[in-house]
Amino acid sequence: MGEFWSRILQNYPYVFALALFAIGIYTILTHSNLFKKVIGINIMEGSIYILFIAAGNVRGGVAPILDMTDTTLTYVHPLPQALMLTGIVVSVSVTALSLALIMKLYRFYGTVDAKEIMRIRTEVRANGARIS
Amino acid sequence: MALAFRDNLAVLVVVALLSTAYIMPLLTKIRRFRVAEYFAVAMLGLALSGGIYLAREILLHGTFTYAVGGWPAPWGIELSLDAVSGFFLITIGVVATPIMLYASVDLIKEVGSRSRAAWFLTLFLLLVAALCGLAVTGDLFNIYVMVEVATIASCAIVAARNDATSVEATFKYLMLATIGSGFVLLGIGFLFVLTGNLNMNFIAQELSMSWQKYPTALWVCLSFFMVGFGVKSALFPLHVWLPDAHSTAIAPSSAMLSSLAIKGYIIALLKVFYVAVGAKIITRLPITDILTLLGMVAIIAGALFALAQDELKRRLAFSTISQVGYIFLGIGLGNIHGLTGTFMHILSHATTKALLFLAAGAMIKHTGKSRISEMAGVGAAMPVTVGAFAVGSLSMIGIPLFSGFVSKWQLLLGSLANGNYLAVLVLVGGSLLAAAYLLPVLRMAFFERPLQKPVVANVSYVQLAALLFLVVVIISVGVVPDGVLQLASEAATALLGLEVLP
Amino acid sequence: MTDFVLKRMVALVLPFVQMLGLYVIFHGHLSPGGSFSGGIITGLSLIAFSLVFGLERGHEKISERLMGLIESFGALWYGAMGLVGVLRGTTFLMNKGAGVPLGEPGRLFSGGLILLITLGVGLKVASTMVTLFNALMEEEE
Repeated sequence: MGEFWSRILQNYPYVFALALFAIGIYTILTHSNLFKKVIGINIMEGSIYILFIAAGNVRGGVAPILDMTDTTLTYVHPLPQALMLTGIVVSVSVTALSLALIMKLYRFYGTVDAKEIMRIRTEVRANGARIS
Repeated sequence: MALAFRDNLAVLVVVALLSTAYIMPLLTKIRRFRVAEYFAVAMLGLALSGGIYLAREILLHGTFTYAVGGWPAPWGIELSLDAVSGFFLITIGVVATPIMLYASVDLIKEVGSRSRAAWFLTLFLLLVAALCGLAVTGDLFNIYVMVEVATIASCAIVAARNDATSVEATFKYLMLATIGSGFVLLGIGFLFVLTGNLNMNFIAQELSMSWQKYPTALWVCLSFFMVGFGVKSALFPLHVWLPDAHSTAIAPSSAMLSSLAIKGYIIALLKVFYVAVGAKIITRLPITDILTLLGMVAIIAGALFALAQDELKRRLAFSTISQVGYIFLGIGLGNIHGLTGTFMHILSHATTKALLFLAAGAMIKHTGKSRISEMAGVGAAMPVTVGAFAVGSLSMIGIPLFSGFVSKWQLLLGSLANGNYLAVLVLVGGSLLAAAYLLPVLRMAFFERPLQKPVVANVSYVQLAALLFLVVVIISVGVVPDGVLQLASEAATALLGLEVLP
Repeated sequence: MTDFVLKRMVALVLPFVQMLGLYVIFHGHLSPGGSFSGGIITGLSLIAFSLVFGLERGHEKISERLMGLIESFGALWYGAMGLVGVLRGTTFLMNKGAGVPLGEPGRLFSGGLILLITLGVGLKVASTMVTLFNALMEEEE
């Protein structure tokens, strides 16, 4: 058991990342406020950035900018950082799209609460009318 | 070194579609809208012919790889062109071209305004380009990017109608799809940590030597992939977003999403499971059994849900869940017949469901009725459209001489080869249930006496041509399946890593 | 908004922010940052202008039509740069192998096509950010 915990301690960024991932998904699934769902998405994606960056880290390494004068430097792995830049771009676009959708939903229903929207929808459907 | 034309063709198909997507807003500003639409159709047709040419080259000369930017595999992004890519490229072309043709008739009226219609064209082409990218890529992170592009584009084309229900469905879809991509990216991260590579062939080499050191990590990583792609491709317990999203969108969007977008994620799953991890490892892990089981549950449950729907498009949406079950069943079987069946069903469900959604869209638009119980006498009013719907129904049920039969027959052979008699029962039961939820529509349309005399609706000839194109594809694949079947079994052989039969 | 201090400060700071954005875009192949970060900075400067002086003044500076053109141009430019390699008989996005002079490493004009590609992508990112902001602002009315 002692060995298990020491391995967990050595690899703490991964534990953090997975915990954050779970928090993010919990936020998306349980909060009925649509903005909080979007925040949950960002927490979830942030956890994955931590996982990748931690995977590319080298203890004592410096930022991967080639220094021609000093050949003794150790660089961290640049690939995960480049990948996560792409990941950030993706999450920016997802966030923008979901914010635009929330604004439309607010215009249609007058609320940003998922439960409230559900209630309005069932009421309208029961009356047999369409929401404009 | 000089490269042959075919080497560049794979990347040219994707780039041409992407560029066309961004030309659309410019073209609609300076020319008539029709011109932009026909340009899009022409580019899709070109992509189809490119796909056919590539598939032929792959069948004749074997698989080949392409290093983007001239950087070889472990450093650069590599496209790997095998029978899987060829098969999926053909599927995309065959289905996307008629859908675009169908959409071109009254797109502006359907989505509201001219600028919205221009963006719809852009997003549609981006979706197609991303799916083509998924078909040709050999790099895990590339898969993630393409999956994201496809997800965002498909969300946006669901919302194209801009009314309350479709926007709400889109939001639900976006949330769940983003959770799905989170899982996929986490799985990619695990594979990257385990092997230090993102190229799928290199991951396969690395894993084949070292996977026994950390089977638990691999198992967790594969379940991330399964959940992630499962949400996106609506595998049964994770399907909750699909019925709303697919039934509220406009007809071309529903057809595109139900027939192609979902299949793109399935191709990505196949590539991760069978190329990156490798058939030898995957068939030894219990994950294939889980996929088989979920597939069987999906077939029955999706069909039962479909039976309960009265709204035509919702019934078709639930039918998609049932048919996705067939595809996952084939993936889970993990033998040559099962995977051939999976590929054939990807093609036959794509063509059939596109046909059904397009025909249903025309029926709903011209009669103004969206419920099956109100559709009495539609068959007399629009015989060709409902006739096309009938062909789609028969193919979906799996009647011989239609494409659905070929794929279900292969899945049946695969189940028998594995000795999985439950799967045989489920396959037959799924077909019977498909008959139970599709034939009443036809009975209502053709044989039920309408309340008032039906008015003959004139569906535009362009839309009829799109429907007839799909009908011809379905029947010709059903009657002479040899060429397609050879390509599909070649793709299955490539995935299983077997020797190519002489 | 009639805040005098805010308006003066933004007018003072904006040119420097835009210079920084362009600097980051142009040094994408030499230092951290590049097209995305630089494009975001440039785009944010335009957004800050619209926030402080109002959307109409923002549209006066750069019309939405021009933004749409730049957006499409950025994406098409990337494709065109990639095709240079194909036209020279090598692979897509090929840089040195396609006969593009690379220059001396560490200098600003080095790296062949990379600088040109980052320029296109930076324009695309900047204009996309502004378009997104405008779309979200206008929906509210």
